[in-house]
Amino acid sequence: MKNRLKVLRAERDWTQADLGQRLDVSRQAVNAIETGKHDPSLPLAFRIARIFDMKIEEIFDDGEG
Amino acid sequence: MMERAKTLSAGSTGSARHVYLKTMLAYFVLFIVMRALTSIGNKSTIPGERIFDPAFGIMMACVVTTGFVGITYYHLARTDEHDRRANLWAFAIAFLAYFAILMPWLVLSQSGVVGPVNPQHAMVGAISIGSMVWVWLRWFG
Repeated sequence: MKNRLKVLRAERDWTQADLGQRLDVSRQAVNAIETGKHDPSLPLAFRIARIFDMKIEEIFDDGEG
Repeated sequence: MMERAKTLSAGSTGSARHVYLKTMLAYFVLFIVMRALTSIGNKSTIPGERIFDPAFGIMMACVVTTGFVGITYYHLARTDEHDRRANLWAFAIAFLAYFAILMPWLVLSQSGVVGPVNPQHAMVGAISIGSMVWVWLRWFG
């Protein structure tokens, strides 16, 4: 699943570790989500959306919309 | 307060994974030491043959099992979903690999093609495969 996580993180000048700490996940988890290797669960997707103050669909794109 | 509690429970970024890995490493070292000791003593590992005092054996079995289950629960309860996915896949693959190794080995040994089945070797093979899966999913997947 495509996402804008890397761009959004870069806009805030956060490292993967910074974002991982805010999301309560590891840096590797952030990297896996950013590169599309791991699709986050719904609760984690909501946490990500809240942190960036956006809607889930504004961050993630399943290619169906 | 809740945010603070959440931060403190930071799964894979915290110490939970490290505690688990260190404990697993300790178990592995303990296993190697036990094997070495039984080899040095030239004592058989055939089931039913006494190597330890029974009371000591029961106590050690309880300690090792309780520790293993406890530390695994602690780890799985505190890791993030990415880490948990790696763990669960690694456990599943290791379990399947154990039988994938054991079943043909059993058939081949019954046919006289290879030596008798050694479940410990099969287990080491399964754990190795599971570990590779875990490393791949945890760091590259």
